[in-house]
Amino acid sequence: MSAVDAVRLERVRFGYEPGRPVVEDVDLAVPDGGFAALIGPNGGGKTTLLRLIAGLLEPWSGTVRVYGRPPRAMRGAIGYVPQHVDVDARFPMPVLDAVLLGRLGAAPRPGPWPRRDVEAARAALAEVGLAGMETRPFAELSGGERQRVLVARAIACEPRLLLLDEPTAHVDLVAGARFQDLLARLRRRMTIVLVSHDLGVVSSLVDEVICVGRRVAVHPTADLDGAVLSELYGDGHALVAHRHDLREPGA
Amino acid sequence: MSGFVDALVAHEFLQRSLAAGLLAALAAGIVGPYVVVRRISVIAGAIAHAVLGGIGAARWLHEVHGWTALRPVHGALAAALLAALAVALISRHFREREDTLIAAVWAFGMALGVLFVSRTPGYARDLMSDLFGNVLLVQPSDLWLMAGLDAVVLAVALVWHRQIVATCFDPEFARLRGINTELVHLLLLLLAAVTVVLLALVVGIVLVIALLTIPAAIAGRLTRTLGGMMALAVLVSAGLTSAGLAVSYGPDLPTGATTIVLAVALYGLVLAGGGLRRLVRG
Repeated sequence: MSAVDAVRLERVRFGYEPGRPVVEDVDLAVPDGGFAALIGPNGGGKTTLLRLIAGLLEPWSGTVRVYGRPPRAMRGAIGYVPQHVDVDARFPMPVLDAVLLGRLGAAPRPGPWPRRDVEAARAALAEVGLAGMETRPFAELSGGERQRVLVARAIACEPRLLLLDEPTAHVDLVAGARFQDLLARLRRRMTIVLVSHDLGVVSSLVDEVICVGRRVAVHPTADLDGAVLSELYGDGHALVAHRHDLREPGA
Repeated sequence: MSGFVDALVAHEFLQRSLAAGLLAALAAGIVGPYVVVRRISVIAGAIAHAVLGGIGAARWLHEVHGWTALRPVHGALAAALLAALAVALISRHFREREDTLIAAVWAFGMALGVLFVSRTPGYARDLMSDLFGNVLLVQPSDLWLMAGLDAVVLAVALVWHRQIVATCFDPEFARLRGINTELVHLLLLLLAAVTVVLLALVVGIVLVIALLTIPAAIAGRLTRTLGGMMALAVLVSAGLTSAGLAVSYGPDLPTGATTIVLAVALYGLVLAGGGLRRLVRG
């Protein structure tokens, strides 16, 4: 593992309207090979932070670095997974073509896809458990399947850093459980940052929980308790008891 | 029908009309599916109506100022491309609501056109064919221009198809792959503008929007890939422009309007067929 952090934010400030910052004074770092979750209330700025890391947004002030460079310079190393409700569900496209978009770059690519790209896309589909679905229309898939296609598309980019926005929102419980297995496999070969409101996903897998509510607090998973959460969400939120697997840093 | 075939063999202007319909169908079949899946048919409608301003200006310059080389189709092309540029640039730089902007472009083009009509002797007579089409008036030089524009549309679609698809499906992901999605969006509007001009020669500017979207929508009900949608939309468009000419010729009906009525009827049949199939399956 290299010494440089996969993600590093320093004094980042950003908002969509002048004078109304959504995130303020954010400092955070995710080491190479780490797995961090951004959690927090709706509208707290989790997705905004993820989009800043991806380079889809430019901070008002402060710096965002991915492997020590601006995110736009590291695009090729980033795999981004939006929520499946953010893409056009009725778009007429077979599943394999959707995954192949992960192999696309800025240069025009007329003609058939090179075999190497097709193989990478098929492997990514197999990885998310959708082998054999290559020719199915994207529009006919369930929400959970669509979400997995979007993960496959990001894997097809062969990223060092995988960013996922609420991967288990809008999917059923069974799909959610399969998702956890998938993430557990993927974390062995890439750094993962995911946005989630689902503490169940967070607690069993990740090294680090980053609580986002305008300002940001970083906790090792093991420290996650009622006091932290009530500070973040406000009082009156019930915390469901669950165990944490304590991991050694970098394990 | 055999009457039409005999007439087609006998009259060169009918052959030109048929060719114009087929040439317009090629661009419409390729660009229509992009317009439908990207949901920009209203922008295409605005570009189509803005074309009247260009046609009016060209006729005015031709009649009043003696620019004899300038033909209405040149004005149409310039106006369409300008309108596409305006929609893309203004919505980006002034952060204006796109639908308001579209309405302004739509009406401004028509208003300019009417002003030029009022200052051009004899133009009021031709206004109906600009608005609702008169494919029987297509000139040989128009056909060459149409073929050239078709070649441009085909080449752009062949080279940038995947970038366009990526941008339509998920613009943010496309940006992360290094694609300049704003440029691709502009390219798409320019393609729509060129196609609008081709179709306006056949069915007139008011009816363009139907022939741009309906064949693509019909194809979209029957195939599941964008490429398949394009191939089928080309065939459906070609069938419709040809059938419109054939059906209207005998009873001397307006060809553009006849074509559109046929298109909507076919669309209705395909929709009803789909509904019926769902009912039967229970």
